[in-house]
Amino acid sequence: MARRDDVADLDEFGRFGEPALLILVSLADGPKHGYAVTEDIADFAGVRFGPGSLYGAIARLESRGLIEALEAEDRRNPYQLTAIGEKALRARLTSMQAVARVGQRRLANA
Amino acid sequence: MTRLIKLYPPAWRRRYGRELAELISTQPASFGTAIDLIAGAVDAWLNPQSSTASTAADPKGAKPMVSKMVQLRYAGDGPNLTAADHLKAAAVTIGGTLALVLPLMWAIVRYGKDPYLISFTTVSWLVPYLFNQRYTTLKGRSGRVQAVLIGGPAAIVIAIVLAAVWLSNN
Repeated sequence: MARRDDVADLDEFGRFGEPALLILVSLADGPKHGYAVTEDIADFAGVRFGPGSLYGAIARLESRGLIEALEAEDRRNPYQLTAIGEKALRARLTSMQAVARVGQRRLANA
Repeated sequence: MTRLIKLYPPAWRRRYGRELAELISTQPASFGTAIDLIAGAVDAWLNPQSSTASTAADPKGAKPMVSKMVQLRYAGDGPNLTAADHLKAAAVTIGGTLALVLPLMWAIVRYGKDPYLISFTTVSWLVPYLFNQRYTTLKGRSGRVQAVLIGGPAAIVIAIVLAAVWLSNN
């Protein structure tokens, strides 16, 4: 299945998988630096990752070409989604939507 | 709290250290943050390939660091582990365990159920298991690094056993 190939990158992140996904979602509406990403994720997901977890995930996303650093602003480096990152995010969200639909349908019939 | 950034590999610090320090300065210091940073540092050492830090520009120190990181990466389940390495590791684990367990069991039979002997018999597999890392995760590392990463945990295990038995007897 092509979709599984698309999402394989995030599957390989281990314990950094969840922060990596939320970072991609955060960057989907534009570039942000680490602090802004942390605050944004806290707002829309209700979780606040520690700095070690956040930068562990950022390092993995950057090394796999899913995000890229922009020129530094003051002491902060904003990051933005790459085309590969956008594709991986779309694939993962589609996969999650499909799982959610099945789960909701089954709960409705329970 | 920013001092914990020193636990990260130098190349990683060069790439992300400034940003990480900036982020840490925005958060209240807490035990949870400290644990998170320590866990992140351990991950950065164990998985250098998971960041672009190894290619971060540093004309003076980049090459040796890249070399060390590649060595560290390949020291795990990397492609330079041969079938012979796996056999050696298995032989050390099995042979070492037998070499420790059999004399200890003989001593239990000979001298009775001494709690120290019983405890060391129970954990005796762990020491050879640590030593097999010479052929797996620590392959290619210097003798000093191997001594620290094998001898340290082995000493800790022995100390824990001694302390546990002493505490149960007193």
